[in-house]
Amino acid sequence: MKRRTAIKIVALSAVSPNLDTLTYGLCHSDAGTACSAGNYNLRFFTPEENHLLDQLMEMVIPADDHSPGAHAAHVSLFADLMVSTSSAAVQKQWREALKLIQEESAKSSLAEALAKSAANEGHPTSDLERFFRALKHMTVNGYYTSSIGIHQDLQYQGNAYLTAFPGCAQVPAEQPEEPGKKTGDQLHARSSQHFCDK
Amino acid sequence: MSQTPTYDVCIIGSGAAGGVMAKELCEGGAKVILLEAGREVPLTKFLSHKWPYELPYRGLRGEKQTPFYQGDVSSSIRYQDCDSVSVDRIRVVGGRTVHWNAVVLRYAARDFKEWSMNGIEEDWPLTYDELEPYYERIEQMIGVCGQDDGLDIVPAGKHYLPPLPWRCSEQILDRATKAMGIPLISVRKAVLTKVYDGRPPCHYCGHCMSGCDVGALFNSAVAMLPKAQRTGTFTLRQNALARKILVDQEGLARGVSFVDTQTKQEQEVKAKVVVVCCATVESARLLLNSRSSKHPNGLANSNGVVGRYLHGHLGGGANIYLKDLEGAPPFNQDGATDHVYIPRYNHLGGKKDYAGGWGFQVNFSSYMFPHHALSLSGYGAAYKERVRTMQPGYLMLGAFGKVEARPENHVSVDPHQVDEYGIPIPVVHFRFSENDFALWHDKNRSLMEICANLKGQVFPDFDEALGGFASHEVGTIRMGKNPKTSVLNSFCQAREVKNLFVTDGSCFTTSSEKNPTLTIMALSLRAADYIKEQKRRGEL
Repeated sequence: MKRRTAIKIVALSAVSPNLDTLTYGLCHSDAGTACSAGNYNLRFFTPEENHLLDQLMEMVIPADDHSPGAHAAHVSLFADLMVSTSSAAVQKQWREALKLIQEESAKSSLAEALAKSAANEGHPTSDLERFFRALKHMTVNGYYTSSIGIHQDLQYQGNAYLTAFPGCAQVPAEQPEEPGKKTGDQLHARSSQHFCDK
Repeated sequence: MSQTPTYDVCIIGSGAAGGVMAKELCEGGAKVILLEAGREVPLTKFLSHKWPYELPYRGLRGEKQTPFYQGDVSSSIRYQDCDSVSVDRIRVVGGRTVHWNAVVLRYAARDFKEWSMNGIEEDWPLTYDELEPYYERIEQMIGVCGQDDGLDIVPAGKHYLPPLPWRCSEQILDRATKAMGIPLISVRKAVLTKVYDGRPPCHYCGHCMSGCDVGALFNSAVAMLPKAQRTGTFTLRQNALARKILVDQEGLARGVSFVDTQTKQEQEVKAKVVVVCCATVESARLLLNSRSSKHPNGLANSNGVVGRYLHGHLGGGANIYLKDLEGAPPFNQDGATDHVYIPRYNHLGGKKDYAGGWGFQVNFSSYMFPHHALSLSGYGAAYKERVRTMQPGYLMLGAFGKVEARPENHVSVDPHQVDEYGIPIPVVHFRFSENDFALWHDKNRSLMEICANLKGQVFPDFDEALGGFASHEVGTIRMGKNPKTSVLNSFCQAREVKNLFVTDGSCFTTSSEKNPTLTIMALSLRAADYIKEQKRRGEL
């Protein structure tokens, strides 16, 4: 990650509420507790679109034995907030893409439609494939910044006030594996230039 | 009508340079006013420790840093005929020291002699030996952790606080770099590892770049300005955006016209000496906007050099997920961001077909977010598990490489496009050179060699397009030996306006691969001593 370019301040667009008065409405909770979304009202997606998004996001990051998934973390509501405060062009892309995957799912199933959209993840060439990258990015951003993602799934131990930094108690022994070998699950395409304001 | 007081010195900007100037000149007995375009954000208001889900956009739209970028400062700039660069214009008491990574490295002797050593650019008008006493003084003043590793390329001082303990990922990196003959040393940072100068030590939360909420990271607002205030001769004027430096009939500086950003009222301050510390782009903007009959081309700009030679650092690195740490139980790795540093080493391997080098900063990114999740293919349960098990092995290398100082790269002002206060905005014009591209390609090659010697999955971070400046932009009001290609002498004094000084990064003749802030502060200290001596002699 580049240093300050990674934290480059994106001037909040004119559609974004003032930081002090924003009622972002998404609940937050202490680590590890379930979160109620009862106090959030959809700003952009219709209830039907939100339901579709919720299902898709849960397929991207599902619940498992270790931790809840995107549904429990209300990631679709996070997506609604982010898209609702993006440009009209971005909003149009999301709406049209959800329509596209809905139509695709009518041919077989939502799971198969998602699989089809993800088939060319490294080099998307169609609108459906480009949507998958945007969907995944939004899901990842929303899940791993949620209480569930941070505390239950990754079990992040930081953001603390320590009196000393422990360093490394014992350097792990070298694993007997070929150095630098890619495991084949790595993308080469750059982040999607679609579905988000630059 | 009450008389407007005349100050001995008006300083513009309260960051790394302005803070040093304020403290030194006040302690030297000067009556000083400091104009700062932003307002103070108290440490208690910092958002550093907020969890992402406590922020409106989960921190993804820069909410933690937003309080430091006040007004329209982020948008009132234009990039024209530009490669992929961005400049960091902040507006807050303390400047960019409010939220920086605090790596403080001395320039090496060779870094002041690009022409003599490499046949490019120009030599600085001073040597390392002349600046060395000021490096020593400023390091002791601000508190620096680290140690002397005996490397000429990163000269060391005599008094450092204990270095930061190395993480397991850094020990593993050391195994790889040692085998390649590449040095890895403890980083030097303006971070306190014990109580120092009345400030508490670091608590290792990893939020340096969101702002240190206890003052363990050097912050001009916390560590310098209070010392100026204790003298009783210091006035801090917040929300004061300098519009123009005013001159008298002889063309000497006589004060500053500024806008109160809250009331939009125009005001003036009178001063015998003006010190500009607004940072590279804003300082050039101010001088170019300070036209007068005596300075029709902008203040101190009869040779057309003000605004020119804009450069900074090129970047790009890699995230590596070390196999040896994969699947480990989660443990707190935050620390003080980078604890180690790979200093320049390309000069050790014989002559190159380009000039300059790079260094790698290590682990200055957050451990909270799984960056690889956006680069790993797939989705579903197996993907989710892979993200989780790889996370403990996170190691990040970020390069900062030298960029050439060339006059065609410059900052201008557009009188037809003004900010919300009616001040012409800066326009950035910048293209990388052949030397820059050659250096970048070799840096990328070398980075992948290092990664190939680490067991793990590598995610290169460098795009296909070369980018800059990593907030290290310098050079637009440069000092130099040649009056035709420089504005300042070695004491940061404008040749054409002897009571005008510029001590921020804009005064740099050239840039090395090292972070500029320590050198900015050392130059400021030297300039402050010079001003005091000139005043004593009646020259100012």
